[in-house]
Amino acid sequence: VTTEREFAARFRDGDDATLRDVYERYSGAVFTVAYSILRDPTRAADAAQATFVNAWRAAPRFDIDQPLGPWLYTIARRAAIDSYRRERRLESTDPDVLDGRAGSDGPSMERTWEAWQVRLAVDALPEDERQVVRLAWYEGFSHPEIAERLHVPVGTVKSRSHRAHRRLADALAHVRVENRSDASGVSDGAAVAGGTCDSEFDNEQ
Amino acid sequence: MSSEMTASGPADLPDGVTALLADEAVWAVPPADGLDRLLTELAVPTSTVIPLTPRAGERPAPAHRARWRTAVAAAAAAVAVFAAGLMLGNAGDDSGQAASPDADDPPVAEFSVRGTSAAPDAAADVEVFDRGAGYALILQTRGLAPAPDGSFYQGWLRSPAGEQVSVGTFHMRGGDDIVVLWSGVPLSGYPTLVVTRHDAGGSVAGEEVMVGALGT
Repeated sequence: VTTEREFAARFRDGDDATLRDVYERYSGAVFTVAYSILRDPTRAADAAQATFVNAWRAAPRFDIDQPLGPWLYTIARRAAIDSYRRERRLESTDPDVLDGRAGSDGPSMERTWEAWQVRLAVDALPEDERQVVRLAWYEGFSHPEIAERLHVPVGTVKSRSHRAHRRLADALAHVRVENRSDASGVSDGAAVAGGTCDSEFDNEQ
Repeated sequence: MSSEMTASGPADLPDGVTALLADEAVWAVPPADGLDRLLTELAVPTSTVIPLTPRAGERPAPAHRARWRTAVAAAAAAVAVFAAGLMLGNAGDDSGQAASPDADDPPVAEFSVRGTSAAPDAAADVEVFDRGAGYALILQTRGLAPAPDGSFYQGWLRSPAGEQVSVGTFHMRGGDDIVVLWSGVPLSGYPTLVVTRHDAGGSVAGEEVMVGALGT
């Protein structure tokens, strides 16, 4: 069984197969972070690609005693914010407009870190459970409506929903999410929930 | 959001989590060719293009089936060499061993793709072989110009709903006209093959140069 440390060591050492594994494991979460900030699929895709390119090129300097995921998160957030700032500069050269936007770089670091963790938890669900969660929370369907769409009994939908939410609750128990609207203007170096990314951020430098 | 959902479990999820579950960012799907784009930019191999440059007097018979058999055999050899490399560099990993196409097995599907207005002279006959590692798509191309330096072609299988799965990239600059692509999804669910042309490092969307579907 490959440990996380061995996995990270392979990535640090430039193993092509591990790059593919890292992409498979984290591409959804990276895309979620980029999309959260940019709200544009094409630009989010470019930021996600920049994330993996930058991570791969910085891999030799990665500290394998640190978790890989939060490190990728910080790179993803920075790539998306860089794209966001470039776009803003192109949008307007009016100093008043730029001043009015000063300090606003989209959703806060806490919010994007939570989105990262929720995406990883969702991606870890079995496909049938993920489908129910998506239809319920994102599409807004009721259990009977989901049952009709999936051609399964309502009881099956309920049991899948129950299992899925139990898994999500377990996976996200450590996430301390406040019920709040998006904050803005959080600096790149701000600590994230649990403080995990604060120390990881130095890895990117 | 349904009241039933609220009553059946998410009560133990923080409000912020449930808000994120309703956010399209959590469900946004990365582009299907994201990994191929990344590997291309980082110069990591993404697919197998079989070099079949004939030596004088050794060109296979023009019958397309015979040429494809040769391509499949060459693919088998190339994959075997690749698998051997994997085994040397990654002892205990047998993931590449079942990938070799067998020249004697019949294709599970055959169809054609035709050039779009971007490449009206291009066309290809396609045979699909079911292998342990996935589906090998053997393209016998005609009239498809080599991709200029800095650009490449990419194959996609497209579902009726428009979902696309990349089956690899190639460039045709070696002078050969047979390309082997690999798919992890069956043509029954993704019956349309699309070939696009991209600039390396360019946008996600490429220009369609060939399109065809199972049954054509």
